[in-house]
Amino acid sequence: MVEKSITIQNKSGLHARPAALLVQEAGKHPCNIWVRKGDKEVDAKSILGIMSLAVACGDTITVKTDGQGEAEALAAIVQLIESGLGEA
Amino acid sequence: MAFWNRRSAKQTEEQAWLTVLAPVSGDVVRLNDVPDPVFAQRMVGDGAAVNPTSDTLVAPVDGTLTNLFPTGHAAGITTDQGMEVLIHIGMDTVELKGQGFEKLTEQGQRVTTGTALIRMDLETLRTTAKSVVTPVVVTNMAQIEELVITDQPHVEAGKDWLFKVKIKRG
Repeated sequence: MVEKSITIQNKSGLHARPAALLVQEAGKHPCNIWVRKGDKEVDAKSILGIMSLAVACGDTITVKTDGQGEAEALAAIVQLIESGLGEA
Repeated sequence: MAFWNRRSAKQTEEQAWLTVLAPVSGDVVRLNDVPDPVFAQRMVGDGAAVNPTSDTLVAPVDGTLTNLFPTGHAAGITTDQGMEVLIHIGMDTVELKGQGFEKLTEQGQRVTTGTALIRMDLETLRTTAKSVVTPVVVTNMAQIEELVITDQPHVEAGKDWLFKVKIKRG
């Protein structure tokens, strides 16, 4: 299991569009992937799960992966978030 | 015996379909015609949209209100079967920061079909939003085997079904 924290820069936070892109990427990886904000952790392969975190601009989230290809999955997701999830 | 077998087969068939009602009244719009590629290209999920004429958004299915976005422009319900239904009022409406939306319940609540979720100030939104067309989509698309959209041009909130999805067996 590996994890990494990252700050969200999207000005409207993780709403439908960035959540969809995040889930699309998560779905490409066979391992389990979660996103945590505060004490709430959700399945990164669920759009509603991601949106339910109500991540705002400037919030820090933690991405956690576990299982086959966990390091690659974590790197890919962190890179996608850093790139602005289609809103940069 | 044959009678009972038929009956249980019929029940199984019914359980395999999720019926999604219209969350608002209005004209039915195909996702292809929704003016945002995120929805038109089904990146969020598959379903249909409504161009709203009523101002109260109601739950289109029974389940748990997994998501009521802080700005009040989107709501998501997870059914007991694990299907996720997202309703997104208008396009780029996250940018309105809640103006024109009033949340009528709270995230995490149990809701039934017809439960009022959000009140919209349609008059304001028609001037401030890029579009008020409201997509209703099942976000766990991998579990959809078949999707049937109503052939009615107009649907009534909480009364008419908007689309039905056949759920894949795991």
